[in-house]
Order: sequence, then C-alpha cells, then structure tokens
Amino acid sequence: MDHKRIKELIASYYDQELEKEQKRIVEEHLEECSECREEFEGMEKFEEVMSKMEFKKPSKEVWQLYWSSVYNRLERRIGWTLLSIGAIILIFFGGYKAVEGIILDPTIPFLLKVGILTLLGGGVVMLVSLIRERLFVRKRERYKEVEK
Amino acid sequence: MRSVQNMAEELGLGKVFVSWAVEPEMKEGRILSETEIIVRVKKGDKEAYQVIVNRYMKRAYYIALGFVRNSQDALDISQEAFIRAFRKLKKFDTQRPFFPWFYQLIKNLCIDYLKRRGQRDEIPLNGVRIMRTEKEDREMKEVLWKGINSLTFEQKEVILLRYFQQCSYNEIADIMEIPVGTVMSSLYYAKKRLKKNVEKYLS
Repeated sequence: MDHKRIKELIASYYDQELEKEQKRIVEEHLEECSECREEFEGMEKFEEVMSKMEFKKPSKEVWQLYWSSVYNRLERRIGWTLLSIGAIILIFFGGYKAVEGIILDPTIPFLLKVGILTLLGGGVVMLVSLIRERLFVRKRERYKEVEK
Repeated sequence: MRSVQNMAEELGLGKVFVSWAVEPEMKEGRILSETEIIVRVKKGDKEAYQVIVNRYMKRAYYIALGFVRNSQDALDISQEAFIRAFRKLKKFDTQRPFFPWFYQLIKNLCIDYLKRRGQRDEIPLNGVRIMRTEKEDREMKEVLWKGINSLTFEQKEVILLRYFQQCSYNEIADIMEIPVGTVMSSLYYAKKRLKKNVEKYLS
C-alpha cells in the first residue's frame, strides 16, 4: 500500500472510522516506517486539540426564546403576504377604474388620453419585466460562483 | 386538572409563549416518529413544528455560526432557515430524512449572506486549554480558526461537521450528499492543512 493511502488511513484512525483490517495495516506499517510514525504522533496531538474545540455557547435565554421568535416571524411573514396581496388587488382595481374613467371622460382631449394610457402601459411593462427578472434570472444564477 | 396551557390562556398569555413547556410529542400517550411529526407539519400544525425546531435549533445555529462567523447573524439565519423550511415543507418528500434537506437550505442561506454582506468576523471558538498561557491559547485559536476559513468550501464543511457537530463519516456523507470515500479524502486534506497551520503549537 502506498504512503498517501496510509496517511489517509492515519488521518481517519482517531475518528474511530477504520475497520479492523485497516487498523491492522496502519499499525503494522507504523512499526517499520519512521516517517509515518511521526505523522501518526502529530495527528494524535492535533486530534486532541480539535476535540477540545467548541463554539462559544449563547445564553440560555436564546434557546428559551428561540421558538417564540421563529413563530412570531412566521406569523408576521404570513400577515405581510396577505397585506401585499390585498394591496396589489386594490392597486389593480384602482388602476382599472382610473383607465376606465379616462377613456370614458369626453372632456379629456384624445391626444391626452393616448399620452396617459401609453405612459401607464410603459410603467406596467417595466414593472412586469422587473418582477420576472427577480423571480427567474436570479434564481438560476444564484450559486454559480460557489467553490465546491 | 388544569394544564399549563389552560392556566396560561386564562392569565391572558399567548399560546405561543408557554407552548415550549408542553410536549406535543407525547400528546397522545406515545412518542411520534419524525416522519409522523413532519406529516403533521405539512398539514399546517405549528405545534408539531415546534418539536422539530426545538430538536434542531442548536445544530442549526452552530452550522450557521461556522459559515457566517458571527453569532448574531448566525442566530438570525438559523431562524430564517426554519421559517423557509416551514413554507417549503409542503413539497418535501417525507420518505427522506429531514435534517440533510434542512442542512442544504441553511447552507444556501449562509452562502447568500456571505455574498451579500462580506464578512464580519468573530473568533467564535472556545475550549482550548492545552497551552501553558492564556495568550498562547488565544493565539492558537486564532490561527486555527483562520486556517479553517482558508480551506475550500467542501473541506470546511467536513471539518465543521466532524469536529463541531460530532458527525460520523456516514452522517457527513448523508448530509452533504457525497460518497463516504470523498468525505474521508476531504477530511484528510483538510486535516493536513490545518495541522500544518498549528504545528508550532503542537510540539
């Protein structure tokens, strides 16, 4: 077995992940190879350090309040979605009524009607295009740059 | 006999704030399996979701902390992940285990965050008590943490899962959706690099 493979096994030795046979191969190899023995001893110290590492613990209240915080945010999010849908419906209804009013009003000159309607039409096309870009293009591009 | 819940409602406290005191898991006199709980959550049962959140909140927080390196943002991201998971669960295949699916979700949120905000670094490590002086301990922690952050993304993932989540190779393979052999070799390269970084402290 080559050195690289042995070193890989050595790196897994302290993770308790080697099978009996693999352990035996490592142990036998260590008896005759001083380079790998050194690697093995270094790994033991390294594992000792790593096993003593942990993340700083947050205060207990963080865990006690965790669920209520998630729940409240969830509820607020649902409220926000309903509010947005309602607002969109009202805006569209208002817009529809306004356009209807402009078309039916005989006192507004024809050219002004065309101007206002074109302006509104342009606005709607831009809005839809922007929303489409947000929803589809960004979704696809998202994780392209991530190093794997 | 009045339950904690009833008493709290009589006192005008919301259902939410005391509900961590009861155990929905045991409600019908037996412990529900995770799949059964998820099925309930899919039907919109928020109390069932509480069981899931309580079960995984610590892991979620520490996973986010490993990636974003800042405790406040890690807390925020982990909670956001639970909110998104709740909404996405409708499409979740209950035959699959919950945690690997959730891990991908939280990881993507962290990646998004890192791209958006750049980095606000803390050294969130604790626990090294092997050096003679506190100064040396602190120094080593810094070197080690910097080393972890300089690994490739995959190497960093395996190190965080192995040492900070105490996952076995099989668990890491499931969570990251990669073969066990890849876990082993990624860990090997990651350890090799980290060991080199902290070599002078080990002798």
